[in-house]
Amino acid sequence: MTLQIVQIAGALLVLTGFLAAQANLLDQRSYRYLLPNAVGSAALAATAGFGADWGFVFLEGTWALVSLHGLAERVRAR
Amino acid sequence: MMLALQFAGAIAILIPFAMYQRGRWSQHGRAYLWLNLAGAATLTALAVLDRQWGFVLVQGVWALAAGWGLLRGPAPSRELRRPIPWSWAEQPREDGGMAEIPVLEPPHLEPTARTLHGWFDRHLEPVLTVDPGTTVRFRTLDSGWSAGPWTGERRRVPEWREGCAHALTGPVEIRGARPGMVLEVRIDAVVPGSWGTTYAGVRSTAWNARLGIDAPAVHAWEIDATAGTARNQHGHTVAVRPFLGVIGMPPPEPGRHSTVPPYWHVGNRDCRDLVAGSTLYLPIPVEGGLLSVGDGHAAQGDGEVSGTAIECPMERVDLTLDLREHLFGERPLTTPVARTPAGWVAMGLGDDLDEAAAEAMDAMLDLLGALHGVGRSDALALASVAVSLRVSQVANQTFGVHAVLPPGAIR
Repeated sequence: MTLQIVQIAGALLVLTGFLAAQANLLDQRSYRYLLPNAVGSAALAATAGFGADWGFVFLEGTWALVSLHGLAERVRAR
Repeated sequence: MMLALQFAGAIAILIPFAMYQRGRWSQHGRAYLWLNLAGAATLTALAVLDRQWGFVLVQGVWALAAGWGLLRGPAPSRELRRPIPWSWAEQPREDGGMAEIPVLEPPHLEPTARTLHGWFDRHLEPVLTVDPGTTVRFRTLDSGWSAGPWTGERRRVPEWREGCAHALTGPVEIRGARPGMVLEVRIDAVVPGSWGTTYAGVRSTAWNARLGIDAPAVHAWEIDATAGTARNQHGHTVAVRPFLGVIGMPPPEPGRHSTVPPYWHVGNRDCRDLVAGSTLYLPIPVEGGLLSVGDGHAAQGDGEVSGTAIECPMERVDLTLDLREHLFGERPLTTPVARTPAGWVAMGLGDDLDEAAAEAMDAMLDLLGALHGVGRSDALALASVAVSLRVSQVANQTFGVHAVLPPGAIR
């Protein structure tokens, strides 16, 4: 049950950013997009790991890493 | 099998994400959306079978959003529709004068032997490197390298060399600029020097012959930037409306390139609407951008019909330089576009006015699509009732037309 709650919370974090970007409300290189993405996709990757869903682990793990990389680039560019 | 499908779905979603992060794809592009739809739909089905309700939620909504994006087409850009933030701009007053200029301490470039050049060349060493978002202050000579006002002859500064065209100050490298990106040039202030010169009929051209111009005329102007006027030796007074004729970057081809004909990456555009308060968007042709500026015009009519405006030095030009990945979603910016006090401006060039008008309209249709979320046919219909075509120049070996969408013309 806890896993499902964490999974849904992570899903909402990632989805909010995606929908906002599609509506032109958020740039996909902004902190407001990248930070919730990193946290949400890391949470999703963890729950997928518990269920041995390795495709989802790959997707969400990569997503989290790319988001973290995007955040690092932004910090370096300041 | 399930695992292989999971990985396939994951890869289909990660490819567009990575391409967007690298600045290659737009988030509204068809490839971006199709791959997201395919990947998310696959993963939704797998998550349902596996009763992973969080993944059903994220991938299901993801698939729906991508599908909706494909059906809807590009959304109107809220950013482009924002009002011009006038507070940062030096505003031209109604009477042509200048409002008070805020005191700034940006990095500044003087026209010296180190910064002056009379050509575009991608291998010219940058004299200043700045981060995106930096305001740079320039002082420029007049286009003809004059050392002072016209006194019956042109006296040039010692830095002038045979073969130089416009006297440009720069180049400025913008960190992170790369070909395919858009350089945003916010024109914060343009303050002309105290004198300028207009030349007519000084060369034998088909244009001059057609107009029956058989003798040269040189007008020496005294410019009063505070009053916003210029007066020539014959006593004629005109309103000053200063702008830079050249805000440009070198073409990607190596070697020296003349500054006289304008290029797709701007150069000598001579568009009289690029006054203070405007923001110019330029396609970046080379790494670092390497922006150079010059060719101050205190006043110029559409067309620049004698080949020169009031050619003047600029005491001060403040430009804020920033980078954008895109301006129009997935369609690349191929010609300069500007947001000016006269409205949105899309610039076209050609060997004749027909071609220049077509190029300007091509960019204007993209702009209307981004502003109002319409396809190209609807954009053309709207342009036909709200956009005006104006001749930028007929003087620089190439013809220029700019399409103007006045503020609030389409609501």
